[in-house]
Amino acid sequence: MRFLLIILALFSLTVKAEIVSISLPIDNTKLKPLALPGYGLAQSKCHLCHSVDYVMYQPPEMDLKEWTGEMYKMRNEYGAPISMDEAKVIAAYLSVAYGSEKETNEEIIALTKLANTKKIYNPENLDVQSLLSDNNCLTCHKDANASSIKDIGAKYEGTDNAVDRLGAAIKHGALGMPKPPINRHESEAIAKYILEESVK
Amino acid sequence: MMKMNKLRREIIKAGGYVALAAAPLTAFSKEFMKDGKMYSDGEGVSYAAGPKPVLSTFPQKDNLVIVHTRPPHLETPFNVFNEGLITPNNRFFVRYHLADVPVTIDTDKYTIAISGSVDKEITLSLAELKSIEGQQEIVAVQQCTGNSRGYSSPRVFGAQLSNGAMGNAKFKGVPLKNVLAKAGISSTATSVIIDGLDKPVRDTTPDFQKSLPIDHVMTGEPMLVWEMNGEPLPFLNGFPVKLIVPGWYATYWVKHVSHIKVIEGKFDNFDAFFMTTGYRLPDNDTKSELPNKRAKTTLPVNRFPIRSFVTSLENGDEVNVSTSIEIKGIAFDSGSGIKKVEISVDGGKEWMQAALGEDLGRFSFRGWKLSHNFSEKGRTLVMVRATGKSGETQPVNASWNHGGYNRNAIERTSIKVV
Repeated sequence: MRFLLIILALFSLTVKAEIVSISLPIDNTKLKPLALPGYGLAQSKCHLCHSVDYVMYQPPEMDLKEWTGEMYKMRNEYGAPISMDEAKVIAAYLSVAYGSEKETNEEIIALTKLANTKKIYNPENLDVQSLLSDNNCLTCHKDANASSIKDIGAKYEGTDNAVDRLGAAIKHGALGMPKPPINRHESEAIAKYILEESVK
Repeated sequence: MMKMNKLRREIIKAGGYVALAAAPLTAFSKEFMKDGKMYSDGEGVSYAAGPKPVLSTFPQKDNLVIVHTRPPHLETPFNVFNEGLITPNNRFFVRYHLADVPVTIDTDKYTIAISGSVDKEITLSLAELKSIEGQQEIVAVQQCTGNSRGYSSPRVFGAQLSNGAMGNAKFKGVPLKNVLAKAGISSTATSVIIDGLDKPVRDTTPDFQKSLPIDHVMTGEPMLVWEMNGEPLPFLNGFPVKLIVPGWYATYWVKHVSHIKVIEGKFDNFDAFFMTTGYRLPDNDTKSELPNKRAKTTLPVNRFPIRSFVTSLENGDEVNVSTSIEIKGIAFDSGSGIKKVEISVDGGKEWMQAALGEDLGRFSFRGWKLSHNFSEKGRTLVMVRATGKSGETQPVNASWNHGGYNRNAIERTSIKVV
């Protein structure tokens, strides 16, 4: 496909104004079909943000552990709308299709079973109490150890972009707190909850 | 004290580890034809889905290696660097991070906003930008932080680049500090955040924004540019205005610049991801770490280390014995300028000094050449090592970091004398 550069030049006496447009090639990259549950998930999720040549040209020797780390990164850092379990199931498929794993490996079989029992992840409807308990937040954030939820909220309350800043602090694990495996929606849901709690 | 000793041990281990790892002898991508289509592969570098296609499917771009289709990521085939010191616009590499790429720009309505810790917030049109005093032209190397990532050993995730995520071009623009002077920077400002029109597809993905320390802006080196090799910037290289930071990795060279914010505190919000999490290197002398023992403290990448390449020979090439051949190539550093380039044709035992070519400026590729007569038949390694005016030179072995960044080991080309 040759490029298409449309220049609609509108000349005035002093300034040359122009609208410059490009057309980008259609993304027709496709994932390798495999009879693993992660294949369908990967098909529906990866293309949301990028073509799958991102996947195809990775080093061929990466194993399940390495692909799982990469999928956690997609979920938690880049905000892919998948649960931690879905990340593992996609990693199982990718590590077989493009990495060093075999479909018959025990861990891959176990992840296929997990896929059959998993809950559907809904990134728009998060349960803050489960996020707090799943990530063991309240183990430390109670009166005696780290700051309590109320204290943290009071620190940020009324400041500019409080949800963004507190959300980023939670997500990055500020002040020595371990960085939790959560994405932006989740960290900001927790931030909103904390800010609401502090004014109660 | 204990901490320092531990760090030192880690560095020593890292050095030892790398020396033991099988370093690929080759560092050149090769183009080849198969079933009427062109592909690129590097010997010693394999990809899960095989060689990558070389295509002309992107606007204003011809015969580039397709690293990723969406968002666009295109690499320059290495043989382009043997054709001249300036990389042509249609062969210059392209790298986006986020897929909401601008595809239509009205240059009459295009503006750059300057906000934050300034005397007065302003919005500049293109015409206003181009009327700011201090315009200049500069030839500078633009190089991806992950250039050559495909040669990391052990391999790492990320775009599996060969050595073509770099280019050398003549840019025309104005120092960023002159632009900021129009708004008046607060005396307590610490950093400048630069944002462009490219955006993430989802709101859970961080935007691509970069920050520069105000001290570096004040050197006058970072510039807003609108011309590349005498033409408007190619669309995919940041049309109509991009930031260049000569000597610093291309991650800072923000495309389609739309907003510059001067700040006094830390840049640590969600959209600071590409400063606070991505594009960082271990905070130690060799900027290295071990695969199973990641560095605990890291710093944002900034200037790139000195590098040099043979461009006239490719791995596997055959040359005739007892015949004078000209070996040529390029060298560059982050702005001290190239002092000397040395060549070894016996695997690093003896080094010969090459003749340096035309000086296009301290941030540019510097060409070099050497005539040599191979006296013995058989396989040999041609190695090239550059030294900058700063005294900086290249290490024998590549150090390792999990991002696959910052490679500058002495490159080796395996040839056969026949």
